[in-house]
Amino acid sequence: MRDEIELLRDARPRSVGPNREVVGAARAALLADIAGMRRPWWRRRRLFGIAAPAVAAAVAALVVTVTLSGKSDGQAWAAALVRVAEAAPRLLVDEPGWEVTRADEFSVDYGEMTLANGGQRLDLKWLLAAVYEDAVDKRVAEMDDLGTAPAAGADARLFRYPGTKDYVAVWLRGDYTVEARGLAADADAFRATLASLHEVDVDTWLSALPESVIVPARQAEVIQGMLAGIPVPPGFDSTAIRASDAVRERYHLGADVAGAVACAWIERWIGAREEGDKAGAREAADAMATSRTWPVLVEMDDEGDYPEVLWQYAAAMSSDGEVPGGRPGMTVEETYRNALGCRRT
Amino acid sequence: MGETRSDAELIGRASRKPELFGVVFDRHFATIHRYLERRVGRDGADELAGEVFRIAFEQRRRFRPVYESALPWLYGLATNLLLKRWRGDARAARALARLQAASLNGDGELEAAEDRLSMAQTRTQLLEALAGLEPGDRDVVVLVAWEELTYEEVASALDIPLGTVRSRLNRARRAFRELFPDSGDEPVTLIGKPHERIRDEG
Repeated sequence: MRDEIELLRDARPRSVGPNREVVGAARAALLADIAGMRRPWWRRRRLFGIAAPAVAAAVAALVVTVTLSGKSDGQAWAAALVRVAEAAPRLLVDEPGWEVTRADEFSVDYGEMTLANGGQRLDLKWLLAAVYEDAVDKRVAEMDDLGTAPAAGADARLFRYPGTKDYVAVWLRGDYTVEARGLAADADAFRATLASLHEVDVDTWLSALPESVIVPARQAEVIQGMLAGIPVPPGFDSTAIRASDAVRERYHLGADVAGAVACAWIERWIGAREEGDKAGAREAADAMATSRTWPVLVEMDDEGDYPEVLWQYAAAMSSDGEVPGGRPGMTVEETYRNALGCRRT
Repeated sequence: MGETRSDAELIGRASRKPELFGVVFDRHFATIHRYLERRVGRDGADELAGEVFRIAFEQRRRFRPVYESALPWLYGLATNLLLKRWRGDARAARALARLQAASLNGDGELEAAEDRLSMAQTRTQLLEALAGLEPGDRDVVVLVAWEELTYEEVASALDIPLGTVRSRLNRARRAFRELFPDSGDEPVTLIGKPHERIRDEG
């Protein structure tokens, strides 16, 4: 008798594959998204590694904070963050229990955040106004067109993924295309949630951000906290950990911090092996072997796979240098930069 | 130029040159479409395949190139999208029913009519059993049996530990065995890499 899984393999349904029109439409939609995401924040972040004078100026700008006029308690926000908040749609749901649960990246040009109330969830996205027509056309072609609905003072176009309870509303707000997406029992329920969206002032909006969001002014402090309990190689410069003028979530900042330390150890390990310095290689491998207990990675482990990947490299350094779980023969040297996001030194 | 680069390199460079992501699309769109077609039928695949790549582009900074190919990651995104859109949806059941009615994948070999009937019945039973699995177990089985991913690739795609892949497969196998009790007489095998059989320690 053959193995059940093998029998199932033989029962694999025949597939025809996509026709030319489907490929063309999907490619066009992807390219429209690519074109609509001009100047994403990670592109600006990468600039920090290119021009040293610009780095100094940019980092200096990050620590400048401003106090909003008329704010009695003197709450200070990063200047760059205020610029985002002043420009972008500042939308919250005007109903009890709703809060911002995710705001992992945003800048003046592009942003995403999630609002939730128990099991209810609404994903908000803002993009440049220039992509509005493409966004609507694409949805008219792919989704059920449910007409219009009021949303934050605008008339939003309302759509539903065919056969689902997955609704999307798209509208123009000043220089932005705004998209709201969520599951709802029916179109009326989604319309009701949309109708509760309202725009708030800068300070209210900034105050609504979740604790996991790290505003630029706090990044240095948070980075130092994340380094606690991590052995760093001699000469490690924590100020070189990439800074950003965009809002970050702890997970992403944690990946930068743990990755910077891991990259430094890996580079020492590679250098020591090349020079035949067994003690140096052992020291680096031993330091990386402690990564299983690095608090920042333990914290991140439930949220994504970055810790697991880093631990694979730590394991490889303590054995023969071949990364476990990768393709046969995949070595630390060949792949660590891409895998862990190491910058070239 | 971009054609000779690995997916990992293209996705890494796409941060500065986003249009390079188009090469990743060209390489893998048909594969992901076929996967979705096997799961939910052609209409569903037409609806979802493009969205997989748009999600992939949006989340490209989360891509960790444990493998040079982006396929395991794309399979994972496609599977997550299926769960989000189709779980608990009557469309999924209808799609699987259509698959059951589809023709055998016989690759031109002409079997005797009786054999073909028997194979069709077996196939229908298998697909029914597959439809009855827990969604997480079904994902693992399909990725191993139909898409021929290694255990490690499935673990990476679904962001689950390797041990979970094995336990889900074993659970699925037990469910299938109820349909085909004779299989218990043979040593239990696990399917690893395509065409590689690994003896189960259990």
